[in-house]
Amino acid sequence: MDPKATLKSALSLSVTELTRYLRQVIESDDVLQEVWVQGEISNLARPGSGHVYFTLKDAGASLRCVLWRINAFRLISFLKEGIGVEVHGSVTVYEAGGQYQMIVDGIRSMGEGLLFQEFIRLKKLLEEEGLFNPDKKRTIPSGANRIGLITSLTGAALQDVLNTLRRRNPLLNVFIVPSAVQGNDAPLELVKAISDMNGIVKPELILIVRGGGSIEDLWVFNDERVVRAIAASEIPTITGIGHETDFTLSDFVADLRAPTPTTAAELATPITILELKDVLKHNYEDLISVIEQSIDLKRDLVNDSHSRLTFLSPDRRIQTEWQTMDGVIRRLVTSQWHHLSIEKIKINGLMASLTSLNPINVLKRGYAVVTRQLDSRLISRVGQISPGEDLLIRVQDGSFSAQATNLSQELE
Amino acid sequence: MKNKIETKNVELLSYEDAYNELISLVESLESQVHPLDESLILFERGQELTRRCSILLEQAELKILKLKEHKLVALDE
Repeated sequence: MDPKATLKSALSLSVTELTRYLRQVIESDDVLQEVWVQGEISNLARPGSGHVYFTLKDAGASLRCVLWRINAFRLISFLKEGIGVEVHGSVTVYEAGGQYQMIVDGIRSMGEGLLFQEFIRLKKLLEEEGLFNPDKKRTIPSGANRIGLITSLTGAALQDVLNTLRRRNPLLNVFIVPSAVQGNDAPLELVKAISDMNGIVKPELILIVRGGGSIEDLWVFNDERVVRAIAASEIPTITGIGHETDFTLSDFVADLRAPTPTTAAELATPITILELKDVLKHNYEDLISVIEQSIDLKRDLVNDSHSRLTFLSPDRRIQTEWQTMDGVIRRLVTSQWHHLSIEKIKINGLMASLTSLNPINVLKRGYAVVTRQLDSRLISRVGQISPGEDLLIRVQDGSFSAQATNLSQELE
Repeated sequence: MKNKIETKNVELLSYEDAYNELISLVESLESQVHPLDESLILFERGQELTRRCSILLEQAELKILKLKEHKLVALDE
């Protein structure tokens, strides 16, 4: 560009003219008339006029903002020194001050802007690390008796949870580790509470609850430190943060996400006292019937053994032995009897023979037996004796002596 | 034979010990022929063991009955 030409063609404007020109340029720009700008609130001032002035800034720049009184009533709750917001409005020029500024007509939390982007970024990061992995979810114990509760002592959630737990199972032991659940201190307090639960209280289950609130209020539960502390907890965790529509990264990383604190208390007590009673009753009945069956079975076994034993009773054995003995005796007797009969017959025969041979019988017929007295020899021939020898004559009923005389031998 | 039988006092035996001894005694009587005096001793022992088992079972049943009477009073209120 030719400097001379530039110089020649340059307009000469007053400060006001230039400023007005700038204003026209800016105010005719579509982008600048309808824009959301993100930043952190600082230099918040509310003079008596009711208008609100503040500076929106980020790391690189700052923007002066004005909120007219008419809008201030509606939006004032968003305005806090140091917090991040998105403001809506148009950029204009404050001619007297020579400054461009933003006329703010809407403010929203950064949740829908920067915060949300941060949420997405952190969620992606943690997801890639596997912190939300379903495999990492631990089973919520169905009969947890010691329940740890992390919440604010001043919040409504505390009473809701305690009431629900007490109603469902009055036998529970509930241990409360208080912690702020919003504000700058909340993340570190929550981290410490989770660590105390794991290191000191050691419940079977941890509930981390907070009642409903704005997305900023719930934001601590998207804090990376809090999320990592929940992930690192060795004790299973249930979160109940805000309302059903609120999802925080703590919810993603917890072992179970409940839509509300009350629901968290219900999920922590899947078995109520009434069900416990029922289960106990059934178990007791089962126990009784198992024992009774076992006794019946044992009784059957004993009875069986006993009948087997009775069958084997020596009584039977003794009866058998008796029978055997009877048989033996019978055989003994029989054999003896037989033997005796034979002997008897023999004896009878002998007796008959003896009878027939008895010389007495011959004598009965009138015969006599003559023996020599000298040597008792039987004399059957005349030649056996000499005259004068003494003889003994035996007859049927006795004997007498005689002398041999007149010997005569008959010729044959 | 005397040294073959563990002549533990029957009254001191647990149910299982009594029952196991009874069953092995019966099996022994069934599977082999013992001398008469020995089988008498075994039989007598068997009767004692049977009585012991029955008594223990009855005692157990009685206990269950007593427990059943107690019910779950505390929880039913």
